Amino acid sequence: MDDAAAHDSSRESSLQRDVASTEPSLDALCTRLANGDAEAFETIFRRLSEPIFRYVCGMVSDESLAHDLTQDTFAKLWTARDRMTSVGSLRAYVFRMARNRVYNQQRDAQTRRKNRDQLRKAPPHGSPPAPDRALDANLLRDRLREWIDELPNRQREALTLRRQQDLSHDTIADLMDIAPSTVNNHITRALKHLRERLREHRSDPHS
Amino acid sequence: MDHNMPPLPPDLRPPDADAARDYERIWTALYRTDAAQASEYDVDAAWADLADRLDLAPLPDPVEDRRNERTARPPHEKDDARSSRYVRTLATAVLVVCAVAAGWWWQQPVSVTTAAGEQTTVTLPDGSTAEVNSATRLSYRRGFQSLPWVPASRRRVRLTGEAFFDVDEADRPFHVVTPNARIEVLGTTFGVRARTADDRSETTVTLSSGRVRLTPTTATSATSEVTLSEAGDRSRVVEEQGPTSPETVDLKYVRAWRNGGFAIRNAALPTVLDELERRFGVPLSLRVAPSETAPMTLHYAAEAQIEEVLRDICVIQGLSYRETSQGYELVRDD
Repeated sequence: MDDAAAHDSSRESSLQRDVASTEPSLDALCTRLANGDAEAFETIFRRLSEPIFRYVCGMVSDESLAHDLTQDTFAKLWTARDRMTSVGSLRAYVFRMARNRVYNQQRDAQTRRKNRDQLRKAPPHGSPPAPDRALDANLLRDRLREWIDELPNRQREALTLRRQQDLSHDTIADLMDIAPSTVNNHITRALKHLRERLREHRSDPHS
Repeated sequence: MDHNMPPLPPDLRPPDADAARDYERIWTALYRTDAAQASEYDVDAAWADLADRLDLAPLPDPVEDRRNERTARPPHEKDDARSSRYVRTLATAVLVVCAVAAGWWWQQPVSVTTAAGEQTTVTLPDGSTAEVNSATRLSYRRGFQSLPWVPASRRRVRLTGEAFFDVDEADRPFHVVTPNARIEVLGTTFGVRARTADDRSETTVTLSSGRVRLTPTTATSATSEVTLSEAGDRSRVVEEQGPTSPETVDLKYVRAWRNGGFAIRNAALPTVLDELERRFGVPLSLRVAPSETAPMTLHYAAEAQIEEVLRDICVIQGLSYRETSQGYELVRDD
């Protein structure tokens, strides 16, 4: 665990060095945003909207919905800009806003996933296998998407957040309201599940 | 192995070497998915959308501004008076143009169009509702009035496609006009289907409650009209022919699409597929001669799924379906 913390903190500090050398820091932008600076808002959007989009994508598995939720998050950031003076880390704050939106949507998303699962589970009567089964890499990616959808919410969330380069282990734990060690438990369990699926898939690729 | 892909964080690496290799592979695949997502994300377009939504106009160019100011500033006082008179005339002109534009805008019909695979419900200005099926266009005058503040004596809706109407205030006339027929409503709920098949306009009306009168708009004699008064009554106008005398149908066929289901009665397979294409917005092609297929009846009360419907069609017709790059095709079983 110590190892992990060391790894993460070194990554974080090297990142901050990078940012400081080229562009204004997020915290400086945050102060300007609180004063209603639209230009600062645009810079923040350009820097954070794609990571937020990827996180939301990982959670709702419907790209157009992910787009909407990302836009909603930043719209809210702009309308609540005068409250930004008391925000610790802007990045964590925006992620938390996005997360609230995702969880508010989750009820709908879950019904949708259930519907889709039912469709997927229906045995494919009378339909011959698609002719391009051979495209293994693409197929694996599609399958992976399905397998990830099967994961419990929190495992999927931890796995998605951990791939975000700019988020430290502690930030993720804080965001998810769990202990840092639990984050890794979630990810390990998720990876184990994905590996089982991968092995099943290898032994019977047509299932 | 991709070199720019970050490796599996060491704290997640399992002791078992075999498992470690699998985890590594999964991690890389996950990153590839992320990269694919990131490459599809268009930050410029997303920003343009958001700026539009929040009314954040692009910041004005200060140089441009100053230049405009200089040309606008008059050199003499006399010019000042002249220009203010000019401004007043201009303002009046703008007001007149605005009033005319508002009048013109009012005259423009409101139209609702649904794409294939899309359905919606429209509340009309009088509180009546229309549930609109896929690939349909419905239009009506703003407020059902020809001029603002003048209450209309009659309500009129134009329809191409399919919709189910629930009309309020039965005492005021309500008309649905299709390309070849007019339906006069006498307080009621009813479905209208006005589709063009093989270049023939066809309007079918099915009554759910109340009373409606159906008249072909292209017919020469005014006597050719039919009144539907029993629930389940159906009549049809094909081009100038009809309306047919009312026959009774099971209302479940009218109800299905409104509950997300799908129903069709005794139709040829190509017609069924046309209808499915519209309903689900998915291209379907038939790779078998239509003469080798049989007419069929389908009914899904609610929550129809395209694959489920295709599967049943295949069982009935002895065909197979397979997914193509855009949609599905139906082929002979072999």
